[in-house]
Amino acid sequence: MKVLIVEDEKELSKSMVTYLKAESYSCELASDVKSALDKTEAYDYDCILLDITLPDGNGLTILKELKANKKADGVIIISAKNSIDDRIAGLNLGADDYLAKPFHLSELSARIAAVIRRRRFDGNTVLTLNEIVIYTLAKTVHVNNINVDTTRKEYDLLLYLAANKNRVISKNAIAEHLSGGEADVFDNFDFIYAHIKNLKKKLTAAGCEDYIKSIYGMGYKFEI
Amino acid sequence: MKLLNKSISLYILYASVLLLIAIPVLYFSIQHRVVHEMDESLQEQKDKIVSDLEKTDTVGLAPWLQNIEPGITLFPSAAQDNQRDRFYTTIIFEKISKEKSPYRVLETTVNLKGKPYILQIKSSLIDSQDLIESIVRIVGILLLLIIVGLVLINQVLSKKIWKPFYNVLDKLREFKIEDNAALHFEKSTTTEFTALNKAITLLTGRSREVYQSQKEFTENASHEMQTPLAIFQGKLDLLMQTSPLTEEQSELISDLADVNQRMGKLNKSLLLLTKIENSQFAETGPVSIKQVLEKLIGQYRFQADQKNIFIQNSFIDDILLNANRMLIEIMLGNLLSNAIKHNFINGTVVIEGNNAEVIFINTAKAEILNADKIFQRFHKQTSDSSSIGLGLQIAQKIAALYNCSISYSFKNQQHQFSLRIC
Repeated sequence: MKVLIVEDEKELSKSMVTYLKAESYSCELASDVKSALDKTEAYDYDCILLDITLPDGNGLTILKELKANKKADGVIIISAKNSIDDRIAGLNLGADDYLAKPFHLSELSARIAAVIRRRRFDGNTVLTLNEIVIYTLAKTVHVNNINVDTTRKEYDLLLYLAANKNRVISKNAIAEHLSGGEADVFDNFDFIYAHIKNLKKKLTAAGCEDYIKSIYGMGYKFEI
Repeated sequence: MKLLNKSISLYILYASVLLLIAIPVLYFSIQHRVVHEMDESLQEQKDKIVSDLEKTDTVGLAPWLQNIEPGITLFPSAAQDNQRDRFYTTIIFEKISKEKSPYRVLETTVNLKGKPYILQIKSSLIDSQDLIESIVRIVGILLLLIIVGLVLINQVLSKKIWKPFYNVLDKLREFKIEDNAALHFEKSTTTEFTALNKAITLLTGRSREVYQSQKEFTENASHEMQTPLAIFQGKLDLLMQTSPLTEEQSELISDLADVNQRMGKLNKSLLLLTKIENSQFAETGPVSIKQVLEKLIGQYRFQADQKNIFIQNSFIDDILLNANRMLIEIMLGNLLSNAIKHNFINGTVVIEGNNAEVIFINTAKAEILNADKIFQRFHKQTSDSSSIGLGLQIAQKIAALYNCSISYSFKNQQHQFSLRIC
């Protein structure tokens, strides 16, 4: 999977590359509009992470160019502005998603995975993690070919963990993801624990190995 | 007391004192003058009569003694007196008109043919008295008219003169520091008011500039902060992936992550506040409060369930507010979030209201809150670190944007926040 990161902040793009490389994405970098346009013209990407404020112009011009050329690259806008106008403008121009800074790398990874699923497979993918099979279109989970009855939150949680398998995901990132990013997140993380516990219970009851590990109260990891 | 009335009252006081003194002084001085004139004419008359009398013989005296001439009396005197003239005023009862009237009398002793006679010459004062009175009356009325006229003119003139001042006052009262337009005053021909206008324009202009730059600073600072925050977040996420990680390190990372989370939240809230203050939410449309509430309750169900809080939605009527939907969601969301956050486990949140009000009532851990302070920026009632102290201010700012108001009360050990739609 090829990802183009258009971001002028070196340290941030470096972190993104490091994290995504471990997810077996091959990443390329562009730090301004010009080099980004050069790259998008020459290659196709599965997903482009697009910062709006770039030194030589607005990132949205790249998006316009892509759409004008009928390119199928998925685009996630990453902006420090978090303004509703940018969000609407970006989504109207055909961006797939919008992520406001600051964000969790695990959230970014999950969003990229979702965009690629939608773009490449019309959302119809089957994620296989050993004995666990996740059908993303039907939003169902099977363990050893037996359907596991999960709640919406539990399904989201499993998908999130799977998108970041073998990485530690912080409690904050999980809390934010489960709250949908809109509602105020409280500092009380008991609810995450409760959801994780229920999910683990359901999976192990279906004969699944216990892959979800707690890492010293810092976060959780789906170890496979 | 109005400045105008202050100066006028002084005028009136001065004028009344002047009137009170002037009228008696006038009266007495005229009277004095009149009496003096009369005395002189009586003296002349006397001189003439005496010279006439001295020429007549004894026979000629008889008609005089019978008081033929009105106002002149001559009768023999008992005592041999000196010839001094005596003037006096007396009141005589007149038989014809049956009225008492004042007379000026000259009394003198004359020696005729070796015998002393007393000669009295009277002159009525009644006519001159009337004259004096009418003169004084006319003068009094004239004075009064002049004073009243002066006061009236002064009042009208002052009102006209002070008009620019009241204009300035009205403008200042309506002045809002966050307004973009500068204050504009009508040109005044009065030097003082021109100076005042200039000074106020300068002052308000400077305050607006300061406010503007402060606002820009907050906005820029918050914006610029987003990127370092994002970098920090990314590095933390990467740090979590390193191995080996001890428990001690994990705990430190976890604490850092929490702090960073808070910084991010704080920053977002500050940005939002600045945007509300900048009125950057131009897009408005009819927003159904009922719909927003239902959506929010769905969103916060998750948070409420954690504390086993029962949310009872008794808001049945609907209110349509012409506003920006996102802002209304933030405002009501903050109120609902507070009602859940500052609640105890197994507590309740009741939302009620009518077509002019939405009330959030929640059972509470804390005692009554300080209603003056809770809407202030960064005022925190609890030491709860998840609260950054901006939620209520944001809610209030949004409410104010749409001419609504949020008030707090404490009833039956429950907090009540009511949003009044105007």
